[in-house]
Amino acid sequence: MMMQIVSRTRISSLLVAIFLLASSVFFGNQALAQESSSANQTSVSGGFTEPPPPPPSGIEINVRVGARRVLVPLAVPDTQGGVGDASKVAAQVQEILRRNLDLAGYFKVLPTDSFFFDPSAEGMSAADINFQNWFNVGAQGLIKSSVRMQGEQVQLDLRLYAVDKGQPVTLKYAAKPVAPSGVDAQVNDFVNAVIEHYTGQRGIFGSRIVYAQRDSNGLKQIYSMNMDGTNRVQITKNRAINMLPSASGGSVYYTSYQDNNPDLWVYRDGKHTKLSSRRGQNSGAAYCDGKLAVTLSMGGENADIYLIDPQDGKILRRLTDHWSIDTSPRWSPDCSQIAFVSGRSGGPQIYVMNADGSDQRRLTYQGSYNSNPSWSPKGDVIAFSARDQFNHFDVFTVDLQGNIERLTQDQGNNEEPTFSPDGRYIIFTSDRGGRGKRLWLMTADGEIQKLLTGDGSGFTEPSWVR
Amino acid sequence: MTTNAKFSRTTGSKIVLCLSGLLIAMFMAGCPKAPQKALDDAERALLDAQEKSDCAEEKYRAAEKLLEEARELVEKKDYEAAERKARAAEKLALEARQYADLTWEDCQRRKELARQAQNPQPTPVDENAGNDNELEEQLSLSTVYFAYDSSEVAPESRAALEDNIRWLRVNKDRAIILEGHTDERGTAEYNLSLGERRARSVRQYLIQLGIDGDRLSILSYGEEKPVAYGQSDADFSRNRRVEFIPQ
Repeated sequence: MMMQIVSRTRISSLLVAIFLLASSVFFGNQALAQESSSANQTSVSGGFTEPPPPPPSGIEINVRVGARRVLVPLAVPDTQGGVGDASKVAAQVQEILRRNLDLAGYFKVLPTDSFFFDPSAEGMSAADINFQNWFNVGAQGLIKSSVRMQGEQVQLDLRLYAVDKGQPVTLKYAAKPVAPSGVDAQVNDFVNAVIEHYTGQRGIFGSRIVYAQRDSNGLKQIYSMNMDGTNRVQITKNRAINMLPSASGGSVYYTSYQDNNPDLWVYRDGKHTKLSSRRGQNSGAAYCDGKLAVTLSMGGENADIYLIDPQDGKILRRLTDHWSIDTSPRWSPDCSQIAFVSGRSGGPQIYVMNADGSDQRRLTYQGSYNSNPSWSPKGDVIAFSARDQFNHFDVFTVDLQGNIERLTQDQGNNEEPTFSPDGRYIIFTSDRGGRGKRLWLMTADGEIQKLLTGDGSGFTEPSWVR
Repeated sequence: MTTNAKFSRTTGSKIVLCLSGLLIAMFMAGCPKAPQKALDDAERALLDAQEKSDCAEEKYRAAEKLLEEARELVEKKDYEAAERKARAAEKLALEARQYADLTWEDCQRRKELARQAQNPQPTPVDENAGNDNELEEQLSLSTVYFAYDSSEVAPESRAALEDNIRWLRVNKDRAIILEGHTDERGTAEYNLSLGERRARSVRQYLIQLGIDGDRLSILSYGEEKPVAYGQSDADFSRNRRVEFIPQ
């Protein structure tokens, strides 16, 4: 189900090499000098120090040539579970372990067919483990797991061993009996602890995203799911187009046509209520610290950004007032600034303003179609999607000085990035593979990209729950 | 019948010629700007003639062409020549309308014969159906299309808009929802705004041509309701549109 994209970096670094060669032939030393500075640290400057180049039809930046991250080889033998219910749970546990350790972007989960011995004969405790065998298959870490039923409850035993030391690793993780429905949360907790052991920062598996999915009747419904693509829950069940969800503090905001106007609705405490139903556009709500930034067109006059009360929808403040389109407000992590999209220069570009609407300034100067901003939790960069010079859409980041980096390339159209709350990952939509729009997860540097929704298509507008 | 028609046409054209000459003289006294009144008059005359244009096809097409040339001249800021062309277009359109009125019965008979010739088993003609009903059936609402990333009403869209204006003038009591759409490229939310802009610019265009704004509401679906599901340029251009939905 999880189809790993054959390391994009390998392919694209080849392409970049070809591009470099070509550009050195065509453009001489300048291109080379620029490219080597980008290889050296981060990016091609697009903003303030140099005058913006004559506007090309699309953004022209390549994925940078970076050192590939070193993945920790982990062995994850089958979860031991005996028979009946326990064996079913065991299959579930081993699937979550392997999938999410793989998705994490720090590990290489060794293929089980490379084990030249029978791991099922081996016990759980250090004394029972032949560490030499695991060392010989190349494992640095070994994850042992077993499942026992205690009446209706499940008792999980999940352990990490350091193969070179032949010793168990103490993790910030405590197992306790859970109902079968709580199994995946507990396995994710363990995975997060393993990530913390190797990286110093706990993982966030189990966190959720909201998204919209188109059905065969041309309608769209709002769903949520775990960041690994599992546990999908349908949130709207009406006969209308529902779109542009975001979720924060237990509320899901979305735009719905169920009353024949793109109104802003909120789902909280199990109830759907209309929050803003001004004629015309009510969309793209973003919540931060008691304030809700939205796009309103006020009777179809013009799309501008407003702050409204998240409880009663009353307008608190108008933030933009421009004859062109202003839309897609996204908060900085400290709620002091808002990134947004504006068409005031012609095509859509990324802008930033203070939370009171002051100091509106343009961030992106390359390309003619830049949209979908998502602010990183550290606050240092904003991910966005842009049309490149070949009319493909790809995911980029821009820092607050206007320096741009490219995260996806040569893989169909990639759009709608949303940062994880820990800043490690970006979920985005891609039509690569020719099966419509699906959701992908990548590490925030773009190096590792993996498919989340192997089934179906029409997945759009992902937004990480905060 | 034919002699009559020719006679009244020439008289009519003389009057029009005199009138338009007077107007040109009046206009030349002012400062140079686009001859909006002449263009509007010509447009109105064309709209007037359009419903019967198939009975005065040659004249009608010629008038259409003249107005188009006049608009091109306006683009080139050659306002004097533009005004002359616009007036000529108006005159021709008036003639077309008069000619069509005078020959209407003949023309309908010829068309019926042509229809019968094409269809060996003609459907019985409903004797009770008056011309008005038939006219109403012919009228329909056309979709207006847009260029990529654009919300401007393109000159190519004006023919479709003229059809719709006729409909709006005949169906005086009906209100319309102008439904704005975009192709699937780009962002869903930005496209929502773009679809709304398209609907709004069509609405403004119609209001300029005298349609009551209270009859025209707008609603954008952005990229959410495509009519063509492919990914070719042709599919995309079919989706960049404003639909007229009668209420």
